[in-house]
Amino acid sequence: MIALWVVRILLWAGIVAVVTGSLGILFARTVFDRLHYAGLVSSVGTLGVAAAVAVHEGWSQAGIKCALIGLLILFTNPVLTHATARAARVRRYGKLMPEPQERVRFLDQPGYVGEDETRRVGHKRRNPAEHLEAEDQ
Amino acid sequence: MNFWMVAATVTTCCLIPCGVVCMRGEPEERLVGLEGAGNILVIVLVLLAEGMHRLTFLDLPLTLALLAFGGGLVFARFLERWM
Repeated sequence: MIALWVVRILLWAGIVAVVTGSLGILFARTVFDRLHYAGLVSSVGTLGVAAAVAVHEGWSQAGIKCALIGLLILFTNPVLTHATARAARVRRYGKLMPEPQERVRFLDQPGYVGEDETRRVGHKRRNPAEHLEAEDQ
Repeated sequence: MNFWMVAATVTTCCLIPCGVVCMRGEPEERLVGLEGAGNILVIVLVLLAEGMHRLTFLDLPLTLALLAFGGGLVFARFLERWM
């Protein structure tokens, strides 16, 4: 009885996420906003439905397949979203790196909020100006 | 009609907004609609297999999830480089 309610809650949580995400894909203004809503469909929607079926079927072939579907989409869709956003940015602005007027602060530039923590862990990102100069040469 | 089929019906209706997005706007926005439709279709296939008690059909959404990922990546690279 409890398992049935768990299944129903997981299922309808996933369905609500799918409905919200699909309406968001339709009504969002830019391609990047649309990608956010597509992420809602792929993460919460797919995981909710796959988990509902997996709980309902238990430790069987169908349950394992549903868990596999959920895990597959969980790991592949961020890659796909990143590739799509990258393609959209390159198509709109001609290149991936930001323009100076966009005011994107990089980790090795002064004024970045997490500068001290960045130096402490030793992580350093390439300077965009050097990157552009290297491309020009 | 069990609640799996009701959920499948509701989810199938969600394909309409993605189809509308696929038919208008810039190519990258259409690609987002295509990716959303692929994800929703995976969910619909899972729900239909469960609702009709044909659990061997769960191979279909598994295959679709793999192929939609590859197809979306190819489209994204194509839009980035050659269009």
